[in-house]
Amino acid sequence: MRLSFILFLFVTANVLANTDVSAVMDSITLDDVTVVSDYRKFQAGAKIDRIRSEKLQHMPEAGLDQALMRLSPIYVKGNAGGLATIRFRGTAANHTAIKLGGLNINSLTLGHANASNIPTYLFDDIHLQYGGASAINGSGSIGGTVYLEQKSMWTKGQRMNFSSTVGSFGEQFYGSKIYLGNGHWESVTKAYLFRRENDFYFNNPYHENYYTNPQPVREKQQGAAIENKGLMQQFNYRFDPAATLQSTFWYEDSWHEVQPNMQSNSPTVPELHNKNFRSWVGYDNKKNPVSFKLGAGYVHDEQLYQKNEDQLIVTDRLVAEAAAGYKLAPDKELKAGVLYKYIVPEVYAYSKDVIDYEQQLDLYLSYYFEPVENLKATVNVRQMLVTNFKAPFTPALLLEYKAAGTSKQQLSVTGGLSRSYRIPTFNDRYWGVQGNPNLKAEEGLNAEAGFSYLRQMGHNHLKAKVNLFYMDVDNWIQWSPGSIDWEARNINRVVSKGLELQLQSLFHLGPLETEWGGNYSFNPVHDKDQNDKQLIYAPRHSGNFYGDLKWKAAGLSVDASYTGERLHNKVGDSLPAHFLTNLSIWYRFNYRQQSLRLSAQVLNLGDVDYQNEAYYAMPGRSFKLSISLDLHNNK
Amino acid sequence: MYAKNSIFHFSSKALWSLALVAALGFSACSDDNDDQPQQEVNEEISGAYFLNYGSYGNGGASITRYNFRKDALTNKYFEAQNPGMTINSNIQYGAAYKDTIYLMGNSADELISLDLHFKPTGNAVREGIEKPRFFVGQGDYLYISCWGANPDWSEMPDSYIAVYNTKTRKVENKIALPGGPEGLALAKGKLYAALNYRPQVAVIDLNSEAIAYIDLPAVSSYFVSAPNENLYLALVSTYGDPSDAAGLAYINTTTDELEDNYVLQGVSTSYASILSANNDASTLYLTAEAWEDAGDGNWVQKGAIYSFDTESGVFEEFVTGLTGAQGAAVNPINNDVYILLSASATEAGSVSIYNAEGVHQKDLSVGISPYWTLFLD
Repeated sequence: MRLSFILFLFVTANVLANTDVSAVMDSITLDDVTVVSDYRKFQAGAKIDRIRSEKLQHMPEAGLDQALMRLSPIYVKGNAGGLATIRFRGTAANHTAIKLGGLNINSLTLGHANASNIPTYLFDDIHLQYGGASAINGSGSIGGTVYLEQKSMWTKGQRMNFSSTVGSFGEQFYGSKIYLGNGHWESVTKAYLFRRENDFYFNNPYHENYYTNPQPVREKQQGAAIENKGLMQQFNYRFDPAATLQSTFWYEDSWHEVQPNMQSNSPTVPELHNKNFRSWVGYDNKKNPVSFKLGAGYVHDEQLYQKNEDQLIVTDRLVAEAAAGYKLAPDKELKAGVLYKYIVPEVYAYSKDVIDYEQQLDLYLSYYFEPVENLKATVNVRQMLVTNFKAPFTPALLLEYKAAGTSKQQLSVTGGLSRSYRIPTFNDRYWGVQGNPNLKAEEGLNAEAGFSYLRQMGHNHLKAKVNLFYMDVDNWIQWSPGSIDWEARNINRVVSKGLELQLQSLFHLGPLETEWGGNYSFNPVHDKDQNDKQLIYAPRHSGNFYGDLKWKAAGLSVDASYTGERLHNKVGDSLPAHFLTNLSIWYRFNYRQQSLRLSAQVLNLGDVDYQNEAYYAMPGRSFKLSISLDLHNNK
Repeated sequence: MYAKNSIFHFSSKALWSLALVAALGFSACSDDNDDQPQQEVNEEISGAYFLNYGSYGNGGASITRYNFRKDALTNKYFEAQNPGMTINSNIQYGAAYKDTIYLMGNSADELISLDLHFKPTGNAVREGIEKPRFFVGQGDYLYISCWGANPDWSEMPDSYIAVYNTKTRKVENKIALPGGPEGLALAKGKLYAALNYRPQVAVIDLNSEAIAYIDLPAVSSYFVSAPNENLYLALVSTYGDPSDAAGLAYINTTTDELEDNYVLQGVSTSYASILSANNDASTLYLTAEAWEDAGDGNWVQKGAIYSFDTESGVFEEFVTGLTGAQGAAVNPINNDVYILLSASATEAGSVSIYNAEGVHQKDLSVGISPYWTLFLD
């Protein structure tokens, strides 16, 4: 199976690159190619990183927030587990699109998703696209996009995985995956349960006797419990290698206590309960020269605060998509598509006179071509039509040039210019009397350039990437005091620019395999007319490092992250930089096709006392033990 | 906001200073001033103090001192007076009572006590204080409106008045008062509570704790006292309790009846100094909306401060075209009007100073979300 997988990549890479050398390189560097989605194909040279399933296996209990904080340089703002939002390149939480197939799963009322409610256990890979990509992904993809990937294994027989983790502060995780199939059809059932009391000890400088004793006092965190559970069912059918029907049905139930700040540390806190149902069915036919896909989905999002049914927030949406592609030549492909959404919000604070439903229609066109040898180019254009709203036209041009290449090394240069946008959320437009239905869309201009170098040395390789970017986001929406109350207004213009460095290496030393890598980001981001003031919760410097050591059936992993100093308000108060290190060891027992994996993790090895969100405690050193059983009965 | 029971506040120290200076000064006084006591200013405390709320749950609260006589501004005044310390909770309200400044803190919910130099007089009190909103003082007690630990933001069934003993520094009693009491006032031995989630004023007999109610055409927020101990009350229209009767209510505290309702659309729903009065309460200032012609027949909604003549009962626009207006306060020394403006929950706010005729004097940059002003002299 592994061989056929590589072969598939080889063929795909050959089509893209059209040179034998490049095809060889691409087939070995697995993280350059995705199996399921074609967003890479029509975004030549876009910076898209992958968090592989092998990495995610080390932390089956982790939510998307934890995975990003540990394995990427992307800043995630959040507290001890209840709420976390992703901020690419200094942008806001609602500038990150989170895609599951054809669905953007962000809340339509808030504009973002809670990253701690997205369990990585349910997904096979996570891909991270940096920079605006609204031409491909639509509204909201201004800072970046997270793609939640599910591989189609086309199981022959049965495969099962059962995983469990117990950890500090009352943490428990139980997960199972069951794959059934005969190579043509496949059923994948995944379920999980995650709980954490979050009753960690921390040093509280803001205790109740502070005014006579300013010294920190050791306290136990209260009111921060979490319980998330979910079920995902996939039914997939492969008519032939080029024609598939895939469906995903995902129910998520997430509950947490709203963690109090350190000043208020108390067990009497509000609760937030989210229930989400996301479904998508898609038919994909890639037969040359014409390919097409059809898809439809339904999403139900529900949020209940403090068990108050009178203040239930619900949105329902039906989504349908159709796209067709035509291969004009081996080096030219055109794709056109349409995406339709019918959305019904049921929110107590919206007046039915103002909003009853909304329709959205995206029209998009993508063109891939190779104008000269070794140069790939893509042009994407998108126009969104929304009931009672004007969305901007969004073009994007991306280029990737293989500047030099041999059988052992390859240098690519990339560049791109794109527009991005986000239409205001329902809350921005319709909340009570403060919402503003006349808000304009936020609009971004994204320019990017970079190069990547790959050196292959037998089974070893070294990769380096450098990216420079510039983003200008206008009409940034902010809630602030208006005429007599808080209002949503287009009042900001923000410039984000920077440099990103990435290194990744894989080396074999006899039976020992070592992989290490790291990222560094320098990202000044400020209001357009305030060059010297970094935006709040946007670290100027950040980075991460990871290292894996594998020897036969055992392994040792370390990951570390650095988050630079960041302002938490605009009057100069800041959070100091912090450096966190995590360590894990594991051992896999193999018996024929079955395996049992035992692992132990130590998080925050240095027991660092830090805050990720001002005034909210974070746990110190903690421990986890995991067990994962893989059973195979492949025919 | 200065103490409700005096036009401006004399501290004990100031009184002694005053006595001393007066004794020395008599020998130098001219014949014309022999019968007039010298009013000396306590340079250490004199000024307007802006209470900056900060950002709920994320700190940022602060005090800004403005010595208006010397035109000297000190931001983060609490930190300047107490090196190494900050105000931990968000300042929902503050005022001086009997030589002590009390701050109602949110997140953490607590009552902070400071001397007139803004130094803590002890630990903050948290027991019995749950989402404190406002207070008034009488004798040894403070009466504090509280919304309870887990408000439902709809009926507010668990809100109450905390009865705090300033000597023992403890909440001795809680008077259950559903409906979300906000502003408070004392008149004729009774405690009046403006209910922000019910269109009523609660009238509490402080001896028996019996509660009577005055029905109103809208929910309400804050009081100012009229010279005869009657009360003016800001009426507001909210999304949950809409009303066409927003404006000012006039309560007769002898009969406990609503005597008049002066309508003004778009009164601010902010929990800040939206209603204030000059020295003799002849003129009130109310924060509300005003529409401005932006050209081409396009009207935009802005904030404004309206003056209200208590004699004629007429509103007039005092200052218009405001964004982020949280309220206003009148300097009791020179009758200047201080308009508090908030840019956002993370940026510095500002105070625009106008004279009594509405002519702009100057702007000050203060802390995040200035809500109230305390005048000390």
